[in-house]
Amino acid sequence: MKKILVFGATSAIAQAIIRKYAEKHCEFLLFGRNIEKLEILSGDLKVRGAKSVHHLIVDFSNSQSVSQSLHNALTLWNEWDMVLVCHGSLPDQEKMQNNFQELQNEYEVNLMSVLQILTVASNRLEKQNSGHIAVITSVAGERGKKSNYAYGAAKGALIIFLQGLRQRLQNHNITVTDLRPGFTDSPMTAHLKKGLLFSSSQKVGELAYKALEKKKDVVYLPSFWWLIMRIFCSIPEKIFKKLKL
Amino acid sequence: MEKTNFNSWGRLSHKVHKGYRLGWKGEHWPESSSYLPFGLGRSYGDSCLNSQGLLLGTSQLDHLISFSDDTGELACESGVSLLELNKIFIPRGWFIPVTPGTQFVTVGGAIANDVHGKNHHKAGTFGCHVKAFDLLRSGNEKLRCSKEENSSYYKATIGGLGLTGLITQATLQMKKIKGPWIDQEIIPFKNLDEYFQLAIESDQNYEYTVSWVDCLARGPSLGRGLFIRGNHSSLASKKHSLKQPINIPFNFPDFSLNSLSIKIFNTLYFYKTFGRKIKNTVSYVPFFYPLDSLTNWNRIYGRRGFFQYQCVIPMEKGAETIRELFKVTSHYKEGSFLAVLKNFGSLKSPGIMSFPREGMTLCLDFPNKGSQTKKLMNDLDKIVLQGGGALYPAKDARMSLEMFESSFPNWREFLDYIDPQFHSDFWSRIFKK
Ligand SMILES: Cc1cc2nc3c(=O)[nH]c(=O)nc-3n(C[C@H](O)[C@H](O)[C@H](O)COP(=O)(O)OP(=O)(O)OC[C@H]3O[C@@H](n4cnc5c(N)ncnc54)[C@H](O)[C@@H]3O)c2cc1C
Ligand SMILES: NC(=O)c1ccc[n+]([C@@H]2O[C@H](COP(=O)([O-])OP(=O)(O)OC[C@H]3O[C@@H](n4cnc5c(N)ncnc54)[C@H](OP(=O)(O)O)[C@@H]3O)[C@@H](O)[C@H]2O)c1
Repeated sequence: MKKILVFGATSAIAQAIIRKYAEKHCEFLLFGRNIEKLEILSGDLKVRGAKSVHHLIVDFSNSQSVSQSLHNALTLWNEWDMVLVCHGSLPDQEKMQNNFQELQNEYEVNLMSVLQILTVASNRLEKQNSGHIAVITSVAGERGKKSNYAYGAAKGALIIFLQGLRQRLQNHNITVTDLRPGFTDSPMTAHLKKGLLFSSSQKVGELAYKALEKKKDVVYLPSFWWLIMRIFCSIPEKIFKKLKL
Repeated sequence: MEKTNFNSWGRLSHKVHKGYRLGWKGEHWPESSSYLPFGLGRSYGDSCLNSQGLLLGTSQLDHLISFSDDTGELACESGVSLLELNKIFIPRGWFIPVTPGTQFVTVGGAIANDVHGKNHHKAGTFGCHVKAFDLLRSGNEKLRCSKEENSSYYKATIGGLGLTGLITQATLQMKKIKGPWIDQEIIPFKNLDEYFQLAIESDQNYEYTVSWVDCLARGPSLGRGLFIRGNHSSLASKKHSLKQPINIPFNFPDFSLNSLSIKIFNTLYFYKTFGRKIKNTVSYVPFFYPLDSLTNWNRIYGRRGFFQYQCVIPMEKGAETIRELFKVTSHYKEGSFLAVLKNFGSLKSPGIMSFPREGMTLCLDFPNKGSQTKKLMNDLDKIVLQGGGALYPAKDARMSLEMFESSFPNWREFLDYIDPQFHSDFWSRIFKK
């Protein structure tokens, strides 16, 4: 049975993914900041079939806390089969423009904490010569736009980081999956109006699970985002900069 | 604040319904003048809507809490759907004790409408199998409710239309089964007399019974239809797989369900069996949930939406009243697409506002054609009143205060348990608030 570490386990998309693995009787180590939520989720996974569930408290905006939780994870489990990184935060772009402190804080959550996790995880898996790393990025990471470039740039950095990591680890029998959702109906987007392009977090989670099982490198969730992004990225910058997006 | 637009299954309301989806039991509710829980919106009328305040969407309040394989006792959050419970527990040999005709219903919604299924004559309502639940009231007061604890809230909340507070989690008694298969029989009947006879016979030896009636047939064929009965099969070995439903992505044009197409449909449905009795073993999915294979089938009624009309008539006056109801409907040109007839048994629900009671229940639906549809339903009301019957709020978008009072003689007692901050469009319509 797979041993899976889940960072940001309480995210709506993460829950949908790991419920599928619970049915397969996997073992879980969940990371999150809210103990009540983690306990509810642990109970849920157990009833659904998980063989064992542990959880660790972590604040991804604090690198000390991340490092402590990674340390604990290393002592708890010496064999890691899958590392799933799901946490993230969608900040208010305007706030970021006027307050560098806020921006820095967001980068801790959306970028730095993930790099910290990937550094430890990649070395761990490299040593084992096996395993699977998966990170939720975003289509927002493919091209910057006025309304959310702070968030987009952090996700964009992750996309590039994962590309390099994938090359580095491919000779070690390690898969690196970039799970790239489009608009997803989840607490993160609760304040937004839901248009036709929105998918449910259940659907995104189930598609992500299928892609992981197929050991995909990059997957758009759902796949129609691939086409949208090809069009979106082919608009010449001269025109693009004038668009209201 | 979430801007998703919530609606009920009949799609009759074109107002904006604000909602906030809860993800966790302990989550703080956004400020609002009033609240109403919202499950999956499978109620047809306005009992799951609150256009004056905020809907508390529970579909993500869907965590399982505990399950005992020895006793079949399941604790889960209220937004867990019956679909999810079936997927998880049928392979383990356990089934929900009572199921309505769709799996897209939450546990909370099933309690608040105290839903019934094809086994009412054997098992009573959903509420009969709810051992306990937690009720969260607007003042942040949390009540553990069961027959022993806060029992008056327990009785008021089962069938309580979401007005007594938010059910956050519930404990259900699941039922042991051998597998996902049902041994079913489909028996055509030529008229209502044959139905009455079949129902009495079948309710003895079959756990599940229901019948579909062609409401456009008149004269000697009045009330012809198909009687469907079944029991859990002991067949366990055959491989069972679940099919993806087909989605209806847009509203059909308003003319698509004219009386001709309904007549063709009803006739086809009747002759599906070529007048012969069918006996076979089928999966639980087509047996219990024939409509679930078309997601959003309500869109075939077009933009104007549709009405359902479900009543129950006490046994003494059942036969004559049902016959009268069919007579009136069969003369109405914009006939019903689905007519479902079933006998309810004598097992009493703990809910004081529960709809099911011993008698015959008839369920009809009508595309919304404005005043003529309303007039027809008003005519049906008179017959139901005369028969001493009741109407089902989960299916209602138009009943009068008079109908409500005579359907629910305990309603005054119920007022004491309504949460002061909970409110529904159904309630304001009935009481003209
Ligand atoms: C195809 C189809 C077939 C059906 N067949 C049957 C049938 O055979 N028998 C039958 O009885 N019904 C039947 N129904 C009706 C349906 O079962 C009920 O309307 C059911 O209550 C819908 O559940 P829901 O989760 O969608 O709740 P909603 O429709 O969203 O809400 C129903 C009520 O429950 C309340 N509620 C929801 N969640 C909670 C909660 N957590 N706490 C407190 N209150 C809550 C709401 O406020 C509302 O009053 C059918 C409906 C359809 C569409
Ligand atoms: N929703 C979309 O449209 C969309 C689109 C593309 C990509 N994504 C990405 O998908 C991933 C999952 O998001 P989601 O949509 O499922 O939203 P979500 O349910 O809001 O999940 C966000 C998760 O991040 C956690 N988190 C945020 N800041 C944290 C911190 N400082 N410390 C600890 N945990 C923190 C949250 O924890 P709490 O539960 O404790 O709050 C929550 O588990 C994210 O990486 C997001 O960027 C989302």
